Amino acid sequence: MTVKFMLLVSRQGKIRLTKWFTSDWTVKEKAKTVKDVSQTVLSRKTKMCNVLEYKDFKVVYRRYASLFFIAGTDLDDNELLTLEIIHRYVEVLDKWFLNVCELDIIFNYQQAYMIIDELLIGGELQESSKRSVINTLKRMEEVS
Amino acid sequence: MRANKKTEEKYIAVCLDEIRNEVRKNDPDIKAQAVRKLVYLHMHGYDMAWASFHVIEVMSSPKIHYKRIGYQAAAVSFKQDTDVLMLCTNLIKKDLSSNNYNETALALHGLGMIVTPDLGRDLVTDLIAMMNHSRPYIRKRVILVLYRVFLKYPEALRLAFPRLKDKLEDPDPAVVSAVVNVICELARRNPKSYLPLAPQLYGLLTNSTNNWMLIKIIKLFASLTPLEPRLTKKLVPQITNLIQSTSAMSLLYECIHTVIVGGMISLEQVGGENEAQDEALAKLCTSKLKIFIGEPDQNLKYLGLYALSKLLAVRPKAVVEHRDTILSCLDDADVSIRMRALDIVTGMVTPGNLVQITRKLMTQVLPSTRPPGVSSSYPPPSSTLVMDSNDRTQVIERIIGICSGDTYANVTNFEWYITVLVDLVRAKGVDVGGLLASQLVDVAVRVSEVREFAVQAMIKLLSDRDLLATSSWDKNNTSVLWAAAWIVGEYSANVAEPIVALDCFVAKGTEALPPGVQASYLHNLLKLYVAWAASDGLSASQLVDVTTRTLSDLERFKTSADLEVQERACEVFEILSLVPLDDPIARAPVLGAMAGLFAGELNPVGSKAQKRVAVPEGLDLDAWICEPEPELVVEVESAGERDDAHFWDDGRASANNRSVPVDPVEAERRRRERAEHRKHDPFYIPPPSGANGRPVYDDIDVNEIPIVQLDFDISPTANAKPKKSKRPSQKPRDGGIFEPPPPVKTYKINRGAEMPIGAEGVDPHHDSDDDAPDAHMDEITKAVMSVDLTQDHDPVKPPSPPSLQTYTSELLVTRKKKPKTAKISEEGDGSPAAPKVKKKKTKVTDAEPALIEKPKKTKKKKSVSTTPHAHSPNKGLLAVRGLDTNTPYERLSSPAPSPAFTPAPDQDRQPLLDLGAPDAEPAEARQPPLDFEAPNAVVPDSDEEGRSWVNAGGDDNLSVHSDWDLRESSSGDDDSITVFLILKFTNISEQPRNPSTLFINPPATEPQPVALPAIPGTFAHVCRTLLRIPKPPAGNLLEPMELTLSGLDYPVSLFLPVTLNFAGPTQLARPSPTPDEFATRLRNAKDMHTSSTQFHLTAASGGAGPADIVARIAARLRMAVVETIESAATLWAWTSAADQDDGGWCAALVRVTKGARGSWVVKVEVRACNRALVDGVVNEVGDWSVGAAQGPH
Repeated sequence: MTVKFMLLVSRQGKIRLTKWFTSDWTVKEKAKTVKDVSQTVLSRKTKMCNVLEYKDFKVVYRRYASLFFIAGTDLDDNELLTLEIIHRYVEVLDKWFLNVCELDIIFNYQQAYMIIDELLIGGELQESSKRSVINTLKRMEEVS
Repeated sequence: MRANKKTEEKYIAVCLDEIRNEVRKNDPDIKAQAVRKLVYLHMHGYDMAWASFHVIEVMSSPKIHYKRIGYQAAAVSFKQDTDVLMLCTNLIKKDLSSNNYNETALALHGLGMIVTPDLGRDLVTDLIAMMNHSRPYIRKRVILVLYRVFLKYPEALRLAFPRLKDKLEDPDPAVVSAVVNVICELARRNPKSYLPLAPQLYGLLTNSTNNWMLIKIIKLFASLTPLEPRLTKKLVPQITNLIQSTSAMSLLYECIHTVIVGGMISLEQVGGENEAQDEALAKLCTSKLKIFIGEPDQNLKYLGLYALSKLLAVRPKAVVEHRDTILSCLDDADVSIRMRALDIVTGMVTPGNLVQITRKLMTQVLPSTRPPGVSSSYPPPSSTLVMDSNDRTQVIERIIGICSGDTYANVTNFEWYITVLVDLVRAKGVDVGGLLASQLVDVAVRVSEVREFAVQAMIKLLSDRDLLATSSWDKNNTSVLWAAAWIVGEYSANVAEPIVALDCFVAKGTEALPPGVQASYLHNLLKLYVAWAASDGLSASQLVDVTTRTLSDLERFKTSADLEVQERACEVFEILSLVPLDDPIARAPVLGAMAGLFAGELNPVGSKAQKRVAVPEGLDLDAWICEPEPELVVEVESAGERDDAHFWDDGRASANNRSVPVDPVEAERRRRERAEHRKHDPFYIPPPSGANGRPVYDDIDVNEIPIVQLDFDISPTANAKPKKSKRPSQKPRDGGIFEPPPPVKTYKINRGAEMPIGAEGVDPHHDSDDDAPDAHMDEITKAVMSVDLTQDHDPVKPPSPPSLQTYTSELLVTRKKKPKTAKISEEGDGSPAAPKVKKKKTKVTDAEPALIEKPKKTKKKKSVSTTPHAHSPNKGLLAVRGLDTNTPYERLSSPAPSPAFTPAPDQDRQPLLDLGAPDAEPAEARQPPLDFEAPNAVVPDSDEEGRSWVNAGGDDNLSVHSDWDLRESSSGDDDSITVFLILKFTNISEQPRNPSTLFINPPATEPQPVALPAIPGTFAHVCRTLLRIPKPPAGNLLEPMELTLSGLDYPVSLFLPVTLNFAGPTQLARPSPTPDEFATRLRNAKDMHTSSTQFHLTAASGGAGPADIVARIAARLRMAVVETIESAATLWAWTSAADQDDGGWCAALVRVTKGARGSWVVKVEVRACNRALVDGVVNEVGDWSVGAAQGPH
């Protein structure tokens, strides 16, 4: 599986979004992972590289303004690709919310979820084109 | 909504109450909002499992807006064991087939998250149908969701695979990309099945410009290339091209990574015809990686180093060129990068650069302001690094690792190494004392030349007040003093100033040290004292002085809180007080006696030595020393049952622990099994022709690949001998790059490990036994992982639907690469695999010409017709007899219907004596004639010589082989089946063996005694015993049975295979079918199960050729030969359940073809109506092949 989970954590360590691509983990495991991972990531300096190994998976993160986008991937996955996925997600968010900021995600977490769902299914990238993701989202908005 | 609330427990509780009320409302809007709130809370770690039913309610809402919330909540909150999941099945089914494709997409999203094996099973057909959905939007989703389904319900893969393959050619690039993603993930688990897709993927690789997908394809190839070396040749130019042209770093990195990991660069030492190309490629990679490392972007730096460390394994030379770049990364501010650099550096170490690298690392861990008086040559660290204690510990571990690796192969100067270790003690904020201590002791014990120096250094350590003061710190290295004390005590002859050292041991402040260290101090105090007191030129006054002083110091320790310290202190105190201080004449003998306490030198002892020590006779380690207290009443209740269970448990446990002689065989058998499982993989389709119209793999027999490869994967474990390390093994990286510089000083390093006497004579294979099970366990779990997806005969799984079966059998047939496949696919029309199969028609295996040329045997010729040879030799069971009876073929021999079990008794079959018993001397053991004196024999013996003995194990002196015969019960007792168990005991020692009684323990019945007479050395004794097995209910088959033979040193397992069910010669007056009946039966059989296996036999073990092999297999399987067609034969057996017409038989096809270097490739395909039977028979064949391969050399 490419991406096991995706976390959005603010610089203060507040969780803004969690998305799990596996249903095998218990609530406890998830909570522990979130805590551990976000703590390690937050403690890293800006100059440090964006990849680290945690238990049996790799954590790839990137900071956009005050928000950390953290993805957990398999050990043998391409880190740069994961960074690209994160970036793609941010781009789509940006396009959708028109200049996205943290508050957008807090208040419209449902839509943030939807966007992840449009990009990734079960941790695999399903659509790499920004435009078609946005189009789908628009269509969905119209329908409902 | 409620985003700006303060997260207080109370507030949440109120909210939850509110939500609880809201979800019960009937208004869908309120309900949906409530669920939505729950999702939000769930994200923050509050459980919402209680609401799963309401989630389903929302999911089933007709409005898509609510539905979406419902599915989202389900995806977030449902787990594998959520009980309401079964309510979803129909809901999802409905939504999947909804007219509104947005609803379908939603359902897919939800399913992708919550899929369980049950859901997978119920929905897989819908999903497969949807792969042809008109919208690519849905198609790609289905494909990705299917991947999740495969993970939960592997059976789905079999059904979906053909269509998945077609989707590689989908017009929509996103769909293709999705398929590539899925295949990439699948191939990572079991690459073999996806080799046939290589040509298509290659096409995509060359034509696509989608970097996302290219990365996946390249990753996919990385898992395929190790299996198919020729793929490499095709890929290299393409990937080189990509490396040079692409501007995307991620793609570039993936290419390089694949080149390295996918084995596209052969090992430096191997050379080979592509050396020049490989070298160029390696150069290209390193130069690109250097750019990576040089980048200011830390990520690229990190990845560059990571890839470089992978490259190091194959091309050390290319990496070493960049040593300076890598070393500079050691100073990087980022810990991850430093650690990666450290990885590479660790691998680069040679005797030549060890000192330089260690020096570099040392600067990182040592305090920059060093205490005055410590003479060390390390410069202060170049930059102020922020290293926490963990990092430092890791660096220290690495330093020790690179120095001590390969039993100090890289260390040329041990004085230097001791200095390094001593300096490391001064590293602050780490706790590596124990590690350093063991290193110091190890070096001192192994390298005698360095002891004097070590003792000096240790005394310095012992008298180091600063170090002593650190013992109160949180993390300190004071436990290293344990080693210091030990070295000083043990090599006390080298101590220059014993009195100083003696004082150190009892100096003020030592009480603060860890108790273990104190105990060591006291013990070594005694050692040192003894050595010192016995030395010459000691004035009486000095002795008296020191002794009294020491005694008074010891008083402090006698009241220590730690028991060990207290005891040692008292002990030492008492011994020292024995010394008569005022009487010089009486003193000498006392001191002399004390010197004897610690005489003799210690040697390194092998870590496995303890296991080698034979358990003394009469000592039962498992027995209670005293009877345990009676159990509580509650536990006693089920005592009877429990005892039984314990009995079996014990037997099995000890058999596992000590199964010394069985192990190689067992290992081999497991390996076979694994190979078998892999072979059952129905996706092992011969590759379709490539894009250029030419099959890519037309000159090898693909079926042979796994076997050749398997020989590789066992060897490292089987040959791993601990004792091998007598000489430093030449690691690949040493060869050629850096000739080890002439050492300044030569050291004699004692690299051996002491073993108890008697262990020497044992065959080296024994040594591997301790390691073997673990290593194999690992292999097996891996195998399970890879097989998991595709296994087609797991009895636990629900029976596969009929469509599946035709598919399976078809694949099995095509795997054999018969020219007939076109015809078969016509029969199974409509199956998606059919068109692919046809393409393979033109394939001809190498073996064919040889077979065609074969002179015809002049046996009973029944029907002769001229044969179009291209059609006849390689036919599957169906093709031979079942589906195309019209095809002319030659029947070379067709035995008259005969009840005989062994169709070819005239073959010269050697008993597989001593097979796998490593400690036997084969030549000697085989020579003596077999001893046929058999007290238990009921039936006069006829042909023990011809038995296919199965090695069951034995103890150190006696090896046990077993075989069995099925006989009609003579007593007319119809309730049981009588089996003759024939046991051969071979005394493999020189000494005669005393008579004894063994017991055979069949499950759930009384043990049966077997009297074993005295067996002279190297003689064998054969005996038979009767075994009555209760008949299973009519129509059922006997389970295979495991018996235990106890009474030997270790219990021995005897295995009665599933072929027990095959009716004995007199049991049924029913002859084997004629070839035509055989064909009819196969054709008309309802729900038939098939399994097949394939193995190699060497020219030597193949005996007299195909006929012999077939005969031996038939004998082992207790099956009758129906018909022999050239080098193939069909076998048949009725089972004891033969009264029903369909359930009572088993058929097999054995095909023997010539392999490389005179070896034989044997393929056995088994069919019967019972899955367990088929599997059991295939296992038997596998076992036989293992025995046969090892048998006569």
